[in-house]
Amino acid sequence: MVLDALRSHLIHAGSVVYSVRQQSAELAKRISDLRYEVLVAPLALEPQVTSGPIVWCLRPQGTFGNYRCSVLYPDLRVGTYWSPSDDTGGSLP
Amino acid sequence: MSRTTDDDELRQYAFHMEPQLVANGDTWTASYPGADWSTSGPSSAEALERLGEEFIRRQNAGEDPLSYAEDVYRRHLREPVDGVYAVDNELYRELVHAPSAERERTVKEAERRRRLGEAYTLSEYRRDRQID
Repeated sequence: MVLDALRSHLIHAGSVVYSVRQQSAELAKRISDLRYEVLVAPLALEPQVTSGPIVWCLRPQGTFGNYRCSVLYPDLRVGTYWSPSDDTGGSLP
Repeated sequence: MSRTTDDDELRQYAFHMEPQLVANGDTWTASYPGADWSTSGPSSAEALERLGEEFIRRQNAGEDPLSYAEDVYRRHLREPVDGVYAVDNELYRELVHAPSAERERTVKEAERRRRLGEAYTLSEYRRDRQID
């Protein structure tokens, strides 16, 4: 009777181990299939594509007087603004 | 073609954008918020470097690398888009050649106030600097 009880416990333990192993394998597969999307701000040691802001301006058709300017900063941030003057200029390193 | 209220609202502001980086396996992709183009590389630094080079290449080829951006700016004024900052146009002109840290601090403050429905103009910025 004791042996029967032990055998029954062993069978039950075996099925628990099997089930946990299967769940682990499924979890491992899900984790390895994950695509990590990491959004980060530019690093402090980012590449210096320019030595200072570079500005390009153009005057869109239908606008009188104002230039639309795009600016690229050395840290690779960009901006757009309106200007009464043609601010085009800047330098590469 | 007549200008709409939407266009007038867009012209009140300058817009400032931060590059976004996404890692996918061993590849990093860099782009500007909502952009229809991007660059990739084996590291974040390379992807960013290529982003800058591509921006310059497009500008010098007579293409506007931010041609898509008006829709993003318009959307940002309704619902904030990550990495985009709307700044009073006159104030922004003052910031273009300001030190980077000063520019970043100010565009963030301008965006914060805009979201609260408060203006942050060039004169308010100058007043703040005198107080500092």
